[in-house]
Order: sequence, then C-alpha cells, then structure tokens
Amino acid sequence: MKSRVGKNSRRADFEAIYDRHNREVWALAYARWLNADLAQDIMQEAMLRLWRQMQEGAKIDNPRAWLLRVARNLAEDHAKSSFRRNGTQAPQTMNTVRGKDDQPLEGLERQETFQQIREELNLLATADREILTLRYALDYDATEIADMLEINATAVHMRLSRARQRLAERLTAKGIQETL
Amino acid sequence: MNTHEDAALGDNGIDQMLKSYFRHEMPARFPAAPGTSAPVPTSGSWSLMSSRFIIGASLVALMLAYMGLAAFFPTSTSNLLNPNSTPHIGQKTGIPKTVTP
Repeated sequence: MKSRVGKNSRRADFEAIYDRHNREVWALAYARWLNADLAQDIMQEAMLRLWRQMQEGAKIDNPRAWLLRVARNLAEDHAKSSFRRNGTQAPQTMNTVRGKDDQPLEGLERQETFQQIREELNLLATADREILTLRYALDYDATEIADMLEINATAVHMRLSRARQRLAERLTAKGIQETL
Repeated sequence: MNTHEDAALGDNGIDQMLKSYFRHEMPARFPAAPGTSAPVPTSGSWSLMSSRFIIGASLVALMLAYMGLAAFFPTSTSNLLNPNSTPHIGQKTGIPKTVTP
C-alpha cells in the first residue's frame, strides 16, 4: 500500500516536472540543431531518463538544470552519430523546407522566408540561438533567460540585441521583407 | 532615422518575423509525459492474479466435466482399458470368430 502511494506520488511529481519544463528543454534542443522533430525526440529522451532516475529513487535537487544538461549532451551525441552517418554534412543541412504540396503562394513564400531565417540562425553561435529561441518561442524576458541559462541578464540583453541586429541586416540584404 | 535604417527590418519587423518563425517551429501540442502511459503496475498485480485464478478454475471445471462425462458413458472407457473386449472390425457381436487355415 505504501509502495503504491509512493509510486503514484513519484509519477505525479514527474508529470508536474514534465508540464513545467518540456517546452524549455525542447527550446534548448531546438537551438542546437534548428530541427523541431529532433528537438522533440531529445526532449522526450531527456524526460524519459529523468523518469527512470526517479523510479530508481534517485534524488535530483534541481530537475530543470538536470534536464537541460542531459538535453545538451543528447544534442551533442546526436552530432557525433550524425557525423558518422552523414560525413561532413551537418544535421541541419539535411532539413528540407517543411511544406505541403499545392500550398497557396503566400504559404510557399512564408516557407521560403522561414528557410532563409533558419539559414541565418544557423550562422549564429548556439548560445545566441538559445537566447533567441527562449525569447521568441517562449516569450521569456531577459531575467528568465538569464536564470535558465545561468548567465548574467546584462549578457542576455547584449547577445539578444546583437543577434537581432545581425539577423535584421542579413535578412534585409537578402531582400526579406516584413511579410509574416 | 536615416534611409538605410528605414529600408532595413526595424526592431518591430525583426521581432515579428522571429516570433512568427519560432512559433511556427514549436509544436502546438507536446505529447504526454513518457513512461507514464504504461499500465499501472500496482493494480495490475491484482488483475494478473484474478485472471490466473479464472484460467485455473476453468481448467478444473473442464476436467471435472470430462470425468463426469466419462463416468456417464462407462462402456467406452472399459473397452479402452480391456483391449481383448474390443470387437474386431467386421465382426458381429455374439458370433464366434472363425479362423481360416
């Protein structure tokens, strides 16, 4: 009876952690490879590992930091395995523009714009992409980003501003207009 | 504000563009938490035991029914136990068996 209560409690705790942090973990994994499906796989794997740890009775003081660390490691492991599979082609170059056949023109233009954005994001440092993803995907402010990435809020402001400016200049140079 | 900045994506422009991009990339819904959709083991042990009990009881009932039917029709059983009493094929009962030289 006691073990049943313990198991149910652990599962409830895990599900609460999952609901609280799944998007953050996804965002971090996405920032590494700019691949939404891969990011989801990495997030699920990180969560699964956490669940196994909890089932074994491991005490994790900071599940968020633990998950982010595991997600980063999984993303790096993917790089190594992808390099073995694909040679010098980086995983993100294997991405195709996500689009459906017979899309209306606006949809195709949108996809093209997104592809251009993805290419420019790929040229930024991973740390900059992490900040951009947290800012624009999750609407985190500088304080929240700084807390999550364990860096200075001033550094977040600076990197965010620099990355935005660079992206704006490069996309303008490519003729990308504000059509979205 | 100079013309070069006017032609470039402004702060609002790049913000909107990036927001649109990242919102498009992020899944609208995330799947359920992994490792928790499996059957709950705590109640599973009870259902496992009860199903085993039911299977065992069914087997016992089948055995009892078989033995009951066997007792109800004793002749076929005794014939099986005594091979000498088994009639030969083609041999009518009561007619002595003839042996051809």
